[in-house]
Amino acid sequence: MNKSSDIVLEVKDLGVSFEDQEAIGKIDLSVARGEFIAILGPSGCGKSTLLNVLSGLLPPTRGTVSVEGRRMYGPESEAPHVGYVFQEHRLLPWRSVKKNLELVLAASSVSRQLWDDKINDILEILHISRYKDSWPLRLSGGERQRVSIARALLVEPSYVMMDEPFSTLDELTARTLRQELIDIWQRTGATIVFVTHSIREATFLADRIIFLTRGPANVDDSYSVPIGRPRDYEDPRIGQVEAEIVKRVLGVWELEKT
Amino acid sequence: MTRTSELLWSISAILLLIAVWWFGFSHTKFIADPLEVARALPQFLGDPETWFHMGVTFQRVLVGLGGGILLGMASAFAIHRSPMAHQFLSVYVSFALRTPSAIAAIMALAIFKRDEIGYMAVVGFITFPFITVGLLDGLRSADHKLDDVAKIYRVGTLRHIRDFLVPFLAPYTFSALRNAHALAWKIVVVAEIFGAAKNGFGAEFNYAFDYFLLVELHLWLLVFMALVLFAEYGVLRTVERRVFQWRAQKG
Repeated sequence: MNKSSDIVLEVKDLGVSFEDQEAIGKIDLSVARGEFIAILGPSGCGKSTLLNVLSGLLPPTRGTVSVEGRRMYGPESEAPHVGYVFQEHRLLPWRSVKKNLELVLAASSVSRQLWDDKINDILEILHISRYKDSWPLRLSGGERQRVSIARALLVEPSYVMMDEPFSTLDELTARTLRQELIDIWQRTGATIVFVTHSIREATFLADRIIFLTRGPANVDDSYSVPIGRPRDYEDPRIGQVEAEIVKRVLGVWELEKT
Repeated sequence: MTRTSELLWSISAILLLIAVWWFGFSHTKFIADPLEVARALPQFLGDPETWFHMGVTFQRVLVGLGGGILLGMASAFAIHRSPMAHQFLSVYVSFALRTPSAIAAIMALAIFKRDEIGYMAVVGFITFPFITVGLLDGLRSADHKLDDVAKIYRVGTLRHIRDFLVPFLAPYTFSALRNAHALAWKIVVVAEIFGAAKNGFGAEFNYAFDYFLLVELHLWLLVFMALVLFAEYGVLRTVERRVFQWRAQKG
């Protein structure tokens, strides 16, 4: 596996409030280099707020976030290099695929001489080389999301955040992309923080699953998926783990009452 | 609608216009013979005086509209960014939107006394609120999801403006520009006539009208319309198609 013991992302005693409304109660979390973690929580628990904090968009009300050992949101701190795959592709429709990728490269620390090779490589890995000069609106939903993944990986990020990136795709495309995501992750050694509602998706993809409570979010538990790789989406063991997790979260998410 | 049928409808409209012109000529005394106008057209087009006057008017439109665009953009951004600017500048935008062009022309004549800048100022003054209102619509519907992308990937302020904001505002800009452009040509003629200009299309048109030179009157009108149509379809729409080519391929 790609993992090593060094910590890429460390969150301590994180809390976020909007005026008198608490969005995140208390989150402690650490992610090792090359690890694939999934964050699982009920709707409205504060997952998006957490991702905004981890991506450098929203300073927390309390606690610290450190990336590669450096504090985010400090007086002298720089925003971290992160990749982000949103639910929707969020590509610039007026720029070709290549130019969308070049735009983020221009703001990264990747040397200009390497751009073409890096773009060609990542498009090749994601099977979208032929769309290099296409406009995003010309592509299907799955292809656009592939470009979005390419954009996130291309900037040599400390970690990549994915916010339910396959939730708007049809099931077959989503399955293909999940498998491809695992292949890319293993090939690149990227560190991935993946937010999802789907327990099966989290079980299939992640090394470790972080359970959040109902909002304001607290970390309820961290669970290491006890299934080796490669995994098969239809593997009965994934079904068993899924059932076990469902049982576990029903109480925590207070779904038994509803 | 196919391209051929579009063309056929356009040709039909022009033929109908010529028929109406012919009918008008046959039944009134103030419309020139279309054939006589057609015969005089080559000589009119070959006369450098024609192009001098059209050039003067074109320059007034270009500079006036350019000023209107700059002023409109500046006020739209200021109104969008600052509540104070909103309160302050909205008064001027409302005032300019509701001022009749003829009144603006007369005011310009009183202020600038037939100076070139007066005609340009009228065009700028009348067109700028249209640019402001159009751009404000765009700024108010800005896609903040793309702003998040810009922040996360740290693209920087200049690139954010150039690659995110400007292309996003392009449809609003072009729409406002088309309206302002069409308006600018109409206003400049009003300004030239009411401002008693010595040259330019309005001055020549007014002269032909005063001396009842019917053929010349029609010739000026035809050339003027051709120039406006060329600016609209030959330049503006061509640039617009090029800018929005990413939409044409929508799958």
